[in-house]
This record gives sequence, C-alpha cells and structure tokens, in this order.
Amino acid sequence: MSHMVGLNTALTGIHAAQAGLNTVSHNIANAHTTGYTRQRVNQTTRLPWESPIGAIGTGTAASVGRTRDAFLDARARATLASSGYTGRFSELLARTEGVLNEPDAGISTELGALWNSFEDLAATPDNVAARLQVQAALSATVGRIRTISQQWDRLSSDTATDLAVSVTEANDMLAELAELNRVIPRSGFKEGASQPSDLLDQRDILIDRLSASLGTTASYEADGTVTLRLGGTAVVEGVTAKTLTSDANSDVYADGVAVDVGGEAAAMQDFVQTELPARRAALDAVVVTLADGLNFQHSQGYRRDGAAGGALLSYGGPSASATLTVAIGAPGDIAAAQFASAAAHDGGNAQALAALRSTPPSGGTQTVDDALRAMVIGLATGVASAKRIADSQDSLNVGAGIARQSAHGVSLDEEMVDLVKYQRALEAASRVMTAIDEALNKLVNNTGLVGR
Amino acid sequence: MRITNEMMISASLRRMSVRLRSYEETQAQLGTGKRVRTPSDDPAGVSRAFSLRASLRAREQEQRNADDARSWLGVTDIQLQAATERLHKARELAVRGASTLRDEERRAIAEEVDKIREELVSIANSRHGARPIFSGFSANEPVAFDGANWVYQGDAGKSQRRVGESDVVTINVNGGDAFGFDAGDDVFTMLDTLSTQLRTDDADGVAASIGAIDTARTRVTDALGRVGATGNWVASAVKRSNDTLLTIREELAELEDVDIAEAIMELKTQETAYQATLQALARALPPSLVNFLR
Repeated sequence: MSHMVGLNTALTGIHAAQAGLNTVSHNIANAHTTGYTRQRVNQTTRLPWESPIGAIGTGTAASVGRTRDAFLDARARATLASSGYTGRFSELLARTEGVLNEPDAGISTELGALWNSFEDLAATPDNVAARLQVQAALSATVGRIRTISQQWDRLSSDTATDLAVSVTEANDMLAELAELNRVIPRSGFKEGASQPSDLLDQRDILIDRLSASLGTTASYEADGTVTLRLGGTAVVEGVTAKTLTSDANSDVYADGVAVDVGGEAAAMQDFVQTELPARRAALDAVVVTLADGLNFQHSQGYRRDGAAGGALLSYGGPSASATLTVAIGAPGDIAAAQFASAAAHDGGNAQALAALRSTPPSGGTQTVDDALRAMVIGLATGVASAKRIADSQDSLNVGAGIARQSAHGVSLDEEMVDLVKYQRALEAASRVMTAIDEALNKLVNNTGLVGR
Repeated sequence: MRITNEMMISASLRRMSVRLRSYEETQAQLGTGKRVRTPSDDPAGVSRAFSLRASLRAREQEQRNADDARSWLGVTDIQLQAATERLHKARELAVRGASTLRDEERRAIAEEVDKIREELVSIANSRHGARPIFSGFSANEPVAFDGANWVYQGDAGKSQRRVGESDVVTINVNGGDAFGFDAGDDVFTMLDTLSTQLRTDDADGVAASIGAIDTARTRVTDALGRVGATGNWVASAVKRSNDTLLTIREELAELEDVDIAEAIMELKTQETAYQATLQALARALPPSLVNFLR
C-alpha cells in the first residue's frame, strides 16, 4: 500500500512540474502580448494519508492562476480615463488654434492690410485702384473670417462623427464583455483558485479600452462577472449589454437613457457642446466690434456720388463670423469723403477709417486689433495649459502603466529560472518513480527466492 | 520593483520617442528660423508680438505716407517760391512805374505786370500728378476768370497724412488763403488793377498797389513758412518712425526668431542624447539569462 502511495505522490510531482513547464512556455510565448498577465503554477500539499505510523504526505496539488493586482488595475483605469480626456481635449483645442493660422497668415495680417489700404485711399481718394485695393482687403478679411468659421464648423461635425464612431466601437466591446461574462463563470472561475486566465486577460483589455474611450468604471462580482457603469448607469450587467447611441448634439444614451460619459468621449462632448461654441462666441464678438466700428465710421462719410456711406460690412443670424459679408458693391460706394460735397480729393473719412487701427471704435473701449489679440491669446493660453495638463496626465498614465507592467508582465529571466526549476523537479520526480519501481520490482519478482 | 522585459522595451521606446520629439522640435525651429510657430508655444510672447506686428505695419505705412507728404510739400514749396519771386518782380516794376513819366515806358511795364499775373495764374493752377495743388479737396482749376472777376473754384479741404503714430500733418496749401481770395483782395485782381493804374498814369494808385503787393507777398511767404515747418515735422516724424521700426524689428526677432548658435548647440546636445539612448538600449536589451543557460 505505502509503495503505491509513493508512486502516486511522484506522479503528482511530475504533473505539477509539467504544468510548470507548460506555464513557462506559455508565459514566454506571450511575453509581449498586449494585456497578457504572467501566469503562475500555485502548488499546495495534498491531504495526507493517515497511516498507522502517522500522517504521510501524498504529494502536491497544482493550480494555474494570474498574478493580477486589482488595485493597480483600478488606478491605471482612472488615469487612462483622465489622460484620454486631457489628451483628446488638448489635441482638439490645438486644431482649433491651428485654424486661426496666427500670427503669420491669420485675421491680424488681413486687418493690417485693410488699415493700410484705407490710408492709401485717404491719400488718393480719386484713384479707382486705391478703392479696389480697399475692396480687395475687405474681401480678404471677410474671407479669412468666414474660412475660420467654416473650418471650425467642420471640426465640430468631425468631432461629433468621431464620437459616434467610438460609441459604435464601444457597443461591440460591450457585447463582447457580456459574452465573456457568460463564459467565464462556466469555465470554473473561482476566486484565488484555478482561473480561466486568458479569458480574464481579454476581459481586462476590453475594460481598459472602454475606460480610456468612455470613462467606464468596472466592479468585479462574486460570481465571476463584471458590472460596467457609465456615470451611475450599468451598461453591462451579467450577460446583458445596453446599446449606446449618440445624437447630433453629441449627447450619449444607453438604451435611450442619457448617460454621463468620461474619457475621450467626454472630451469630444465638452469640445462640441461648450468649448468650441465659447471660442466661436469670442470670435463673433471680435467680428461684431470690427463690423460695427467700420460701419459707424463709414456711415459718417460720403460716397463718390455724394450719398452718405451706408454699411461697409453686414452680418446677421446667430453667428457673426459665419454670416459676415462685404456690403458695398461698386468701388465708388466706399465713403472716403468727409464732406457732403464729396470732392475728388476728399479722403477725410478714409483717414478716419484708417485711424480705427489704433483707436477704439465709437463707443468701444478697445481697438479691433486688441480685441482680436485678446481672442487669439485667450485661445493660445487655453491650448498651452491643456497641453501641459495632458502631458502631466500622460506621464501619470505611463507611471500607472509601468506599475502594472511591473506586477503583471513577464520577466524572461524569471521564466528561465522557473524553466530550470521545473526541469529539475520533473527529473527528480521521475527518479523517485524509478526508485519506487525498482523497489517494487524487487518485492514482486524476488520475494521468496531467498537462498536460491 | 520587479522589472520585466516588456517594461524595459516600452520604457526605452518611450524615452527614445521623447528624445526624438525634442530633436525634431529643434530641427523645425532651425528650419523655419522661428522659435514660436503657434501662439500656444508662447502666449505671452505672441501677445507682445501681435501688437509689435500691428505697430510694424502701421510704421511701414507711415513711411509710405511720409514719402507722399514730402513729395507734395516739395512741389508746393517750389510753386510758392516761384510765386514769391514773381511778386518781388511785380513790386520792383511798380516802384519803377511810380517814378516813370513816359507813357510808352509805363505801358511796357504794364505789359510785364500782365505777364506776371498770367504766370501767377499758371502757378496757382499747377498740378501734382493730375491733382491741382492749391484747390483743397476739389478737382477744379483753382483760379479762373469768370468774365467779370477772378474767382477761386477750389474748396477749403485740408489734405492730411499720418506720418507718425500721432503725427497727422496737413500737406496742402489752400489757394483761397494763399492768393488772398479769403481776405477779399486776391492777387490777380490786384495786379490787373496795377496794370490799369500804370496805363492811366495813376501815380497814387500805383503807390497804394505797392502796399497791396507787400500784403500779397506776406500771404505767400506765410504759406511757404507753414510748408517748411510741416516739412520739418514730417522729417522728424519719419526719423522717429524709423527708429521705432528698428526697435520693433529687433524686439520681434528676439521674440520670434531662433538664436541660431543656441539652437545648433541644442541640436548637437539632443543628437548626442539620442545616440546615447540608442546605445544604452542596444546594450541593455540583449543580455538575459537565456544567453547563459546551456
């Protein structure tokens, strides 16, 4: 009896060593697999055999599990969500700034040319070329502003489309997660014991990606499933996943109920809903200052034909920058003259228009150039601080990632040591089996042959 | 801390990309010659650069305006000098006429006075380019004879040029003022009167006309004085504008341009750092227990 126990004991050792070798092999194979968690063979002694002479060991019980640290995961996912937000936000804001094309080829350049064209007109008001020059400078300024407005519109709609795409991608991931919730409890999930490690890894990757893109929070349930929440709403619970949708206003809904998102989605949402409209309002204010200032001064003067100068620029609707147009048709409609006689060389009003470059328009407190500068620098400061925040969040994110890698990653040196360890264990267990076998052989075949 | 192979690789890659990024930034700075490419690179600096650039454009325009003002003032000065000289001649003739007794001599003097009046009309109607110099804003011939009287057909418009940040100068001389129309005794009617007085041997009248010529001359020299003073003003404004322009260009360069020597040093340092990172990576990655277990 005791010999048979010994054979079995040796067998458990061989099994454990083989499991160890297989795990080492698996770890090495997946050393650079994204999201892979190092697996370990956990060995415990089996229940002893209560023999008449005392408890005799019956070998080892081996189980394979992941070396995963839930605390590190939670920390990493929180930084993933915030770095997703700050990274995307700063990128969008930088694109908003890029559209302005300041300081080399933006509105400021066109404005400078416009003021100069007024001064040239003041010098030669009878010259059609000078009038055409003013018209061209006006068109260029208006064109520049309209282009910025259109490009911002496109940026806004592109961002809304990006959000819709990432919501669609998230739906696939949510469905996958629900499916894993169904499979994992069935594949012998037991906390701390043998685990379906590779399935768990897959699930953790999905949760990571959703944290970054939507800012979801995950909670692990006792039955082996994961509940995923957006704000307070569960979007995956057990085996059911809700369907996310986004509307034209970039609001996100789960099965039709509005949910709060985080991560990159929140950055896109904030950008489309508040940030860009605020920037546009600032641009609109500058455009209104410019148009009203020019129009007021222009209406004080007289055209070539002696009629009072009307509006130079016109705008309407909710956004001045989107609707700005040049209101004059013929070059002679520019009211360069100061007096109603509209004499050929009267450029007094053109002079007054040019003076708007350095004096605030009637009723205003800052010049058009200063208003424009304040708008551009306001945006630039926003971009610079968003970049700084994104950089620091990014390094936090990298730190959390390194901490996770440190705990979960595969170290080839370690695996080499394990390889040698399990190889030797296998050899030793085999040797034990041979020794017991030899002893049994002696017992079975040579018993009773004494004296022969 | 447990160090894994994946960690080392990703950390090295990250360090390499950080190095490469700053290397690329310095290279872009050198390539464009600009330290600041978007306002967010340096919001405070760009804010300053914004007003400097606006100021630069304004100063450049002032130079153009000043060139125009100078040529205009120059032409005005020449014509007014000529007018003074003609009036001087008219005075001499009047003085001679007052003491000359022979009729044919006085007639000859009267002829000469008529010529001077004609010359003065052409001076008053002279143009710079296509624009009459002494007509204010109007495009009309400033001085004309309407059959009964000499009339001023221009207006009182003051052509102004901005030649400095707050230096707005009036560059034209008004014909109504310079030739006495505003005061009600224009120089042309006065010379016509003198001519008639000479022909009719009106000695008292001629003596009175000498006083009138002096008044007319004073008006023209006053105008000349104003032109000269304006010219000086323009010159000093241009000088100030030039100095400001230089300062602005310097300051803009300081704000926006790359210090080439510094940037090249920086580039060299970054290159060395990048190569060091590569070398460290090449040394650190291969050795592992794998190489030593047989």
